[in-house]
Amino acid sequence: MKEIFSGIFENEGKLFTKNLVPGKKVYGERLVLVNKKEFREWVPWRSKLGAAIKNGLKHVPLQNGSKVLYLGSSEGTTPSHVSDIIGKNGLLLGVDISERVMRKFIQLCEQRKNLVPILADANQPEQYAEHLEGQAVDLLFQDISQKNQAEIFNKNAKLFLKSGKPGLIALKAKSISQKESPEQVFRKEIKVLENEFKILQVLSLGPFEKDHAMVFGEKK
Amino acid sequence: MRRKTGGKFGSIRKSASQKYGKGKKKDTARGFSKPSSGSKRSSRSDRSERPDRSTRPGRSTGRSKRPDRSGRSKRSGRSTKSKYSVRPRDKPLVVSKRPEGHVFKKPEMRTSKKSEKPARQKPESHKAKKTESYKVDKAESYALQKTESYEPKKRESYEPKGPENRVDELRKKLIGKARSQVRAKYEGREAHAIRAAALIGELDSCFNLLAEHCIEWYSMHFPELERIARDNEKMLKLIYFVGNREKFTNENVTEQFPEKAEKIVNAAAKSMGSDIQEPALKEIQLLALNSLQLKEERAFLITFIESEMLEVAKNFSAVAGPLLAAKLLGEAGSMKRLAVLPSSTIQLFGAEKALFRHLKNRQVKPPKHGFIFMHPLVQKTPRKNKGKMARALAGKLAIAAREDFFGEKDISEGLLKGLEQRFEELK
Repeated sequence: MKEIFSGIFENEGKLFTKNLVPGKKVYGERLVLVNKKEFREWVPWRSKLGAAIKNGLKHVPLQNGSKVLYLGSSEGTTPSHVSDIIGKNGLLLGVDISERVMRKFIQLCEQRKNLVPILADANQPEQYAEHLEGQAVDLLFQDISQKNQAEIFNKNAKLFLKSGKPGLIALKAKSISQKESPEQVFRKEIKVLENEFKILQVLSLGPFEKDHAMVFGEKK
Repeated sequence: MRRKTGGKFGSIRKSASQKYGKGKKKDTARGFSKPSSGSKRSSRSDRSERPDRSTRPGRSTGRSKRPDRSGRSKRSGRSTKSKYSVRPRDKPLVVSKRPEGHVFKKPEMRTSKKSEKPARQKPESHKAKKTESYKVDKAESYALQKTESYEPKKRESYEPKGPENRVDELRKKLIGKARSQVRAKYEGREAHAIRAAALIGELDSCFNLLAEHCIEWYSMHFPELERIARDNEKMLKLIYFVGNREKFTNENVTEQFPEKAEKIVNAAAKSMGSDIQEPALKEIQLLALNSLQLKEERAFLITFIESEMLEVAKNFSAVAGPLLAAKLLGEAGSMKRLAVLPSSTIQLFGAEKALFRHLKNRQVKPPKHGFIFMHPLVQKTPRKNKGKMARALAGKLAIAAREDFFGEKDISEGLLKGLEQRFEELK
């Protein structure tokens, strides 16, 4: 078990995080015991952040105690691993608009003390701005399949991210345009992101996700 | 990046790294944007060059985290950073200032024995520098210290005082809020009809699957029946109530197949199927019973949808028919949304795949109808006019939905009349 990033471990080509709630699985992943510590396997096929790390993300801006705003938390597959990494002193605010997935995420939040659910539209960050009490976050992460993904990301960055802080966004080409090729779509979206961000890395998420790209940037 | 991805991605990555990497070598981006050569191996070795991460994993006080921090020029971010994660290192600094205050007899209560030591060493130089300005700043700086030291506890101190509780409180509040929001979303009455409508299609396919298996199995015993009967449900009933083909008589077959009874009995007498043992027959009969129960469930659901839709959307379900109405409603999500949708959207609900195929490639013709194709009026229209009928129906449906949501009147009769008229024109 080798630690490749803070809190992220690798063993035989598989990613792991240390389980914050030993003994409990979140989405049916494997649990592994090493030196009496329990690790959860991070399945890149299920998680876009996992896929990005697998594909060579150069820096993962997460550490013990980080405060993360996670847009598109869904049922909490990726947030559960982020929660493992940031530990019990960290805080993850998971925003999602669908009550269908939120009901699972709420249950996860009750189990993990560093998760907070927010049922709101990420397109209107003013709605949940009050919950953050004007505090900035250490990382803005977004995984939303909307046509205006990049705009949403910029809006949230303006409100919650201080200059120099990192942002990660998973772009889904197919939800932006069916007609254009993914490459064209990504170019355009990155141009939009450049209004707010200094882009540091762009990488495809194949073969784990089709027509997806992860963009890593730093707030200007 | 690990595997060779297609040229598309390769090129975009390249362009990105050229764009963002080369120009900015002197400042912040250095560490990140070493031009990637595209293979995973190289990026790995990049990592291991940096001592911080792999060799000293235990350190996580924030400072040691970013390997390339030194390269960052405009990190005013340092102060912001400290707010969240670097507090304990700053803390002694704060304490060492305090003794000045001690001299001026204010915040002594805080200074512990430990902090007095640095106090003895430092004070003279400090005094010499700023005795005058001190008084003014003191209150401010004290307040500042107070708030600052308030913040970090959240992260670094493990005692469950103030801030810990604040996060907990926030958590509890937000969990409660999210819970009630979820609950509110499920409170709409139409939600149940939508669920039921979604279930019906599924039930149908389940029934067909089971019936197929059952009939296939029974055909080993009496293969001719399938050709003659041609009706899964009735055939299953015959299997369940009678079973062995030797027991087939005119009477018990007539119950299910009044017209074909004689034919079936004759066929049973000279069937080429094998004899069947009692245990096997019992299994087949049980399977038949189970699939028949699915059919029964479906009938219950339909009556449920009818009554429910009548409550939720009177006009809409009168024009569309309850099942179709529930399906369209499910596609829209809620009555509110359905009421504000344009009729063209209602017309194409359920034909999204065809629509996007058309949008992607204009040579493919656009779809004319989605779910509303199953409406009896559209069904009866001759093929070349189906599109027109669908358009007319969608228009009336949109009107009906609006009336249902915003008004109270029953206008379904007028709408249906208009539709009939249009149908006569198109027939």
